[in-house]
Amino acid sequence: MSKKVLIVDDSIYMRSLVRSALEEAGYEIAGEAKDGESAIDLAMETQPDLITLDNILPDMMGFEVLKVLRDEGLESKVIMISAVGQQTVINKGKELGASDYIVKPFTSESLVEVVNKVFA
Amino acid sequence: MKILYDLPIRIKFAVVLIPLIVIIICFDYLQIRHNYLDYNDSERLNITLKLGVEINQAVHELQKERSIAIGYTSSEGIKFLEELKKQRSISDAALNKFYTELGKPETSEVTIRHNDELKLLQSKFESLKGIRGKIDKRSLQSSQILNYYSEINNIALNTVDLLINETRDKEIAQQVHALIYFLKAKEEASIERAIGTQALSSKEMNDELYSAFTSLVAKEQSYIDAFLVIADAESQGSYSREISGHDVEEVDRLRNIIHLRTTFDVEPSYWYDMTTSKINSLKKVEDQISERLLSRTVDLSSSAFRKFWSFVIVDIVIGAMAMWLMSIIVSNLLANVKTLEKFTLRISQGDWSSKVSIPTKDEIGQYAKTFNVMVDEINASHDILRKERDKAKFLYHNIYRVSMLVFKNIHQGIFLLDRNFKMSKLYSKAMEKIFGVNKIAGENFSNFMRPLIIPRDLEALEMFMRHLFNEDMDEDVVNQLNPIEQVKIFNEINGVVTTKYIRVNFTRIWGKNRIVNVMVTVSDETESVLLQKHLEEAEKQKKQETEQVLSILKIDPSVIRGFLYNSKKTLKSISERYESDKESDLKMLLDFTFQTIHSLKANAVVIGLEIMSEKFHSIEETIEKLKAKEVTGKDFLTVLYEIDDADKMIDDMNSMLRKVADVYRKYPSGGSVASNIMLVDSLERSVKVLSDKMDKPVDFFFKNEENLVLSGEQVEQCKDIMLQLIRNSIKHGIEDREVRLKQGKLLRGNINVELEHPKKNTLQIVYKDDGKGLDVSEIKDKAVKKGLITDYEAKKMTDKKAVNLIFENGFSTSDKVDEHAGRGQGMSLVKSLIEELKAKFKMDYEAGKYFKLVISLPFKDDAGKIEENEAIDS
Repeated sequence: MSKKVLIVDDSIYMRSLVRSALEEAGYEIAGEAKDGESAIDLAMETQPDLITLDNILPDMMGFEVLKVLRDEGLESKVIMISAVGQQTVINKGKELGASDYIVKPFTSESLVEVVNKVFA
Repeated sequence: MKILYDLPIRIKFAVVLIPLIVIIICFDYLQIRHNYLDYNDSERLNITLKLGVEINQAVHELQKERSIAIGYTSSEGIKFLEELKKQRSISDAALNKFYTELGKPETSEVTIRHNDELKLLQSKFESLKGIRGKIDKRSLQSSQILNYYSEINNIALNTVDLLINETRDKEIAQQVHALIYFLKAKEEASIERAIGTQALSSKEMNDELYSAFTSLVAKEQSYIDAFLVIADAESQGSYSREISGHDVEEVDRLRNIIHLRTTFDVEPSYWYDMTTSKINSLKKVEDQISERLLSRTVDLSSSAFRKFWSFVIVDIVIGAMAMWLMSIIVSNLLANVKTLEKFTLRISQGDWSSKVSIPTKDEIGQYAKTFNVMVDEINASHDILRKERDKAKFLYHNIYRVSMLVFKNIHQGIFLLDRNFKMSKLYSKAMEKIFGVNKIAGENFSNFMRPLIIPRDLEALEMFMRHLFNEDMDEDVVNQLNPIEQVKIFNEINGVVTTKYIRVNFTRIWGKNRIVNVMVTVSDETESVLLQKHLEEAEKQKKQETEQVLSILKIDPSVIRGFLYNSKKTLKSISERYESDKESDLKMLLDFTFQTIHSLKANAVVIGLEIMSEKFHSIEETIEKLKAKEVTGKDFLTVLYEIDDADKMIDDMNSMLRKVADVYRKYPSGGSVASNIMLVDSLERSVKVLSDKMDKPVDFFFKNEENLVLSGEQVEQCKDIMLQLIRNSIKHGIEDREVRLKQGKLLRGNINVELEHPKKNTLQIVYKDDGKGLDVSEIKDKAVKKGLITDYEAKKMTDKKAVNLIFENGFSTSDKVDEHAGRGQGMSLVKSLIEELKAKFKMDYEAGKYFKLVISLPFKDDAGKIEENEAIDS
């Protein structure tokens, strides 16, 4: 059974980039969220195996979303997606239980590699 | 650690200061270097930024050219032909500007490290010609064009990244990164434009292109996100200000249409214009960022430059001041320390005269003051010590040395006794001389004296010393007990025992209420004792001599001479007899000696020579003692000794007599007068002595009315004559008192001697006594007895002739030999003496009345008188 992935990113192009890359790699896309609130709702609803969580969202920061999800008891794996130079954010995510991270911009291959590693 | 402690102060300073100075210099160097590097860095960044701007400009134009070329190819050469030509010239201009900038000397200096990259970039730029040719021939597909241009742009942007990504300033580095992200975003946007243009031109979009488009946009947005995260507020401001408005919104709208892929009902030129407008806006933002970076690098470089120089200047000034202060303080400190050191060195060499002068008020100054105080005090105590020393020297020279000199030279032995009767270490040199020993110091005094004095005295001495140290006893009282105040000691020097008389006195020396010592003085009185003895003897001798002289002076010299002559002869005869008659009876010999000495004694008595009569008397007594016991040969030795002594006396008297005679000879003229006086005196004395002996009181009268003086020779002879006459008168002529009283004569007989001058050249001596005169029958009897005449001749002889018999040799009227009657000389001697004087004599007598003898001497009138005058004058 393929793993379910929830994609959280405010940019539609990024969401479609990630979706196409993961679908090609054989993952099931549980859903896409463009902001924190919808991401939380969708995550609780779909209970995905993995969440690719962009750090910069219109309503809240990615690690805040992660905190809420962990507080709610969600145990999905999380890959933080961050722009260059946000090492502090990455560290925070790791503290909150993020499995790995990836820095934007990234290629489809590198993304799949990270995701595979998380599930390995 | 100890090595550090032992270092001299200046080295210690060096040890502390030099590392400090080195550290400060290193720090300064780093600071200066840092500032210099900052300056250098910003300068270089400025240059590379300028170059980067030109590359970016070229990239910007090539991006446009790429889009136009793709549009041109996609439209099958229908569209964008004009735009392509126009854009190519613009691109070339931008490339030329890049080459110009690259050719600048300062640029080539800075970019030397990136030569490889720049060369690659140049070769890529040059490959443009071929690409353009292929585009013109339309032999390239759109995707190929995209790839060619994108490769060029990629290399260009990487080169920019390398060129500018080399600053040490974090803030600038961050902004440089922001710019690079921005440039990458812009490149993606440019590709998006190209793909969009292609898709809209061909009115279709396959999956590959779609995916590339989506990825491009996502990438672009990611880069923009990164840019916005790290860009500063101004860049963000520029971005939000420039990237807004209609054209930007249109690009978003058109992009969504492309993304939906449902309809491509959009004019590609419109897309191109809108995206170009947006890209131009992006370019504006980029330019603004570049501008700001450039100005910031300029600011940075100038501030670094300013900092560098101000630091250098401040450093030099502060460093110089610090060095100046340090050198002043350290040199002052060192100088002070040196001064102190010199001072202490001087003091250690004994120079106390100077003071140390350190004017500073720090600890060293205080030390110096303290030193001065100390030196003053030491000097003061030095002075005191010197004075004490001088005093001691003075005392030594004036007291101790003198005492020592005294001790060395004094003839008295001096030492001290302590309470244990030990003798002091110091004692006068005379001690050794007196006692003949060197072992004196520390000896016990009684042990010392033990061999020298008799045990009884030693015992007394020990008791006496105990009393000496008894404070309760009076010193004067104790000193009366001194058993060795004057003592005879016997000491042995080189085996010879000598006797000394020493006097030892003790004087107490008091401490506080206590007798500490007793001073003992020892004087050698041997010489004085001996001298005293000697004196006593000399006194005796002198007395004897005086007596001898007196005797000689009293008695007629000729009498003495005769006596001495006879005595010596007699004594000699005794000695001779002793020698020849050794075998004979000792008793007889003794008797003979006694008689002889006795007669000599009688002679001495007669002439009044008491000293000799006493001597002979003592011999008589010695013999008397011998008579009482059994006589041995030995016993005669004492007698002989005494006789010898008497002989010596006779010799002495002879020499004395000669001396007197010498005196007479010296004064021959005056001698006569004296002799005359002495003659009278001697006669008078003879009368007195004889009359006393015979117990016949006789008075002697001498008459010389004319003061006649006999010559020296005459005096001698006359004296002998007179003495003989006087002896005869007293012995034979003058009767005993009873007879005289019977005959009615005066009890006292008298003898008259008168000097007369009856005629010229004649001097008459008249001798007359008032005795019984001559007894003719007695004379005749004696003469018969002596065998001078026979009985017959005696009867026949006239009275006148008979009396002349008395002048015969061998006639002696006395039977008994005694000291007064001489040795049978008598009138015969008188006669011969008168004859010697060439004088005449006439005898007269009246039996029972008187005896008279008149001697007529030749006489020189004048001479006698002159002599008298001279004698009176002298």
